[in-house]
Formats: sequence, structure tokens, C-alpha cells
Amino acid sequence: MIVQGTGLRWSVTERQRLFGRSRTKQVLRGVDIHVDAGEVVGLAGASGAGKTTIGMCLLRLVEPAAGTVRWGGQEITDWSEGRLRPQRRRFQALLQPPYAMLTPFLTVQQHLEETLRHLRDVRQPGPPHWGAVVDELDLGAVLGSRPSSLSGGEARRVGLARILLCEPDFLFADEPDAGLDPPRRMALAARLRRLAGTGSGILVVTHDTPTLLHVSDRLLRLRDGVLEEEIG
Amino acid sequence: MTGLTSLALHGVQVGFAAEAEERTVLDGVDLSLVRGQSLSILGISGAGKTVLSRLLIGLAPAGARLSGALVWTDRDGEHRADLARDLGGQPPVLPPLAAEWGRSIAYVPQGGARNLNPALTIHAHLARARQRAGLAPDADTERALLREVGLSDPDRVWSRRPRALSGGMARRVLLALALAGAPDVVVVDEPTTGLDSDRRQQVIDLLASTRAQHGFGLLMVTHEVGDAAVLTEEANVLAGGRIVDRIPMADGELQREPGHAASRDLVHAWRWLGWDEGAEVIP
Repeated sequence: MIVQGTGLRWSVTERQRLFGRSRTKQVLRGVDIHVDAGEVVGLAGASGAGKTTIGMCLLRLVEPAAGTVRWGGQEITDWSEGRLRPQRRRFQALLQPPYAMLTPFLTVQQHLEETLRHLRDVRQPGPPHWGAVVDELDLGAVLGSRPSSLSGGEARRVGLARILLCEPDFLFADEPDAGLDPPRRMALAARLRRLAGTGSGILVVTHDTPTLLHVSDRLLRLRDGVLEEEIG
Repeated sequence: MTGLTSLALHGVQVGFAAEAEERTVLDGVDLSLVRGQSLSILGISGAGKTVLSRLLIGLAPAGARLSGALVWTDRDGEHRADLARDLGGQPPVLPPLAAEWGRSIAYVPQGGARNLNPALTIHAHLARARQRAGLAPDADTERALLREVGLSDPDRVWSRRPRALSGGMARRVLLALALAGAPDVVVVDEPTTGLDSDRRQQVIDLLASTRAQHGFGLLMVTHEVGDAAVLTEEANVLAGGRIVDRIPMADGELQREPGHAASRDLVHAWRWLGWDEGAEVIP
């Protein structure tokens, strides 16, 4: 098991108007989830159901109110960020807003070099050159561009390129196909499948169910704060 | 109303001066739409679909080099505008056609509430749209229009401002605004992009039902082959700045297999994503 979450709970408190009554909404009510090596797990559910929160909890980017998180069998629920940091290369997220993962003043090439520089610090010997990833994701023409002049799809491909360079053990992909045209959606689905073929575990959230069906080995549905396994 | 009967672009070229070289977006496009007809412009992101559809309503991208002609016919006969001469400089709007916006030509832009005026209520938007079309404000007709676009309780949105609307409601309001002047031609830009499958179906049903009722000519820009097949009679596939394939469509099906690599890619991906047994992944 690459990543496992047990009994995850999370709630949000909203205040209606400035001095109004506050209301607590239980978003996750005891979620049990695990992703194995080489497996793609699809996560479906209505908007606002908490799909993103599950992935963020598994990566310790959101703190669950209760429950435990394991990375590679080891419980990391109480680990400090400093202790998590060396592990973070192996546990990656492809976040939903495509520009959120990029630095506005760096070019695409600088983004990739930055990733490689970081990898060299963590890992020996030297990592693969980024040329292959650039060709594969068709980023050659935008290497000198900054995020502001990239389209949403290009920005997402840059984010994916950095993740592929890291050769992660686990990837949480949050609606990676949103807004892509069908040929690019198909290519992305095939790429995630290939990544799983190299032994990575992938948790993918999407609102386009056909893409999800193509990609995933198992399909989970989040309903009323708990997960149900779909037969498929 | 001037009774627009046809709208056509002839030999349209659009280029932008990039840093070093010039980037050609459209490279000799012919497209014509007759009243009552429904067409789609199909292509991948960045193919120039939006630029083409906006040119059809007389709106040019800022800073573009243009050539070709826009030809339209109405009750007074045929009119012709040379794009290089009439749209080349500022303002980037073709004046005679701009006067028809909201009455014989309507445009539904991509996205939701960001296309509305944040300071105006929905009611004020509708009143202005009618005014533009030369119609007096009429609360009953406006409420009926909101019901028609699926806002079954018009009073819920009547005196609200755009930021209080959900994404789906904003899209419905935009369609109501387009229909307020009883247009002859409606141009819709990517009406379903970014929606989940249920909401996508709702938008498609809505466009089909309003078109059945009003009989306007429809030009839809999309990258979804399935949506084009349900709503339009012919898909014009745009790739490399040209229309490379024209595929007749009916009842959600293609009437002929795609004849160009670009349309094959789109159709193949559509079938694959639709969980078609026969389709295999193109690596």
C-alpha cells in the first residue's frame, strides 16, 4: 500500500452574515481509503462533496480533524513538515487551478530546471534530462514562456512535466482533464495509465465519468461524507 | 428587426505579429450560415474557433492583421464589408453589423457571470437587452423568457446581481439575454466546456428546446463532437487555420466518417471517451 487514510474526518464551519449563526458542515465522516502501487483509483462525487479534501488530507496538505494517514505503510499523521519534506518528492499533487503550481516570474524551462536542481539535492546520481518529458508533453514551443502567456492546458502540462520528472510513488490528480479538448483528455488518460504501469499509485478526481472509467482500476464515490466502492 | 437571412465569411485570413515572426490563426476560411440552419465549428483548443465565430458577428481581435470579406443579406439586399479596410484599424468592430447586435445577431460568450455587468440586476440586464433591440421593457415577457431558459422561479433571480448566481444560472441568464431581441442568428461559444455530464446535458437540451421554439440560425463553437452532432446539421472542422472537413450530422450521429486527420482525432477521442468498445487509445 502506497498511501492509506483511515477514519478521516473533516468539517467546515461557515458563518451566515458577519454576526450571524455559524453552522458546521461535516464534509468527511470517517473516510477509509487506500491506493496500491501500480493502481489507479478514481474518485467521483458531487461538487462540494469533499473529493479534493480527501486527496489533500492524504498528502498532509490539509489536516484531518481525526483519522490516520500512512505513507508506504508508515504512519505519518503526526510528522512535522520538516520530517515530511524529504519524502514529498515521492508524494505529489497535480492541483486543479493550473496556474497555482507555477511561479509567475519563472519561464517554463526555469521551472523544469528548478525541479531538477531540487531532485539533485535529494537524490543521487543525477536525474534524467528533461528533454524526453518536454517532447512527450509537447512543451518545446513554450520553454521560454512565463505562466501568464500559457493557456490553461499548457500550464497544466508544465505541472505534469514537473511531476513526471520526480517519478513519484503516489500522485493525487485533481480534475486533471477539466477544460481539455477530447484528444488531449484521451492523451492524458493514457499518460496516467503509463505512469501507473511504472509502479506509481494514482488517485484521480474528475467530473467527466467516462475519462474516470477509462483510467481507473477501481472507482470510489463520495456520498454524504463516506466512500462507496462502485462495481465496474 | 432587419430580417437577416444569411451571413458569410469569404477567404478570411487573421494573423498576429508575435515577437519575431507572424503567427497565422486563420488562413483562408470560407463559412456561410443561412437563417434556420445550424452549424458547428469544431476543433481543438487554440485552433482559432473563437476568433472565427466573433468575426462572423463583426468583432475582430485587437491588433490583428485581417483580410477577406464578410457578406450578409437582409431585407434590404446584400451587404459586403472588406475586413482589411473596415476592421483593420480601430475600432475593432464592424459598425453596420454592431448595430444589429442583440436584435438580428446575438452572441453567447464563453463562461458565466464574468460576462455580466456586476452592478446591474438581472432584471436591468433584460430590460437593457430589450431596449437595445428596440423593444419596451415588459416584465411579463421577461419573466416568461427566464422560465423558458430553465429558471422556473424567475423572482428568485429577478432583482439579484450576477455574483449571487451560480455558474449554471449565469449561463442561463446569458442565453435569455441573447434571446431577448428575438434574433435571427445566435452564435454560442463553447456552451458546455468545464461542465460535468449532467449539467452539460441540461445546456444541450436547453439550446435544442429554445431553437425548436424560436427557429434561429445557430452557430456553435465547441470541441465536443457529441454536442455538435446533437445540435447542428454540419460540423466545420477547423485545423491549421483552415476548414479541413465538413461533416454532415443528424440526431447525435455523424452521417459520414471524418475525412481528415484532425477530424479523425476529434471523433476518435469522442468515441473512446464515450466508452465505445471499438476505439483504442492513440499513444
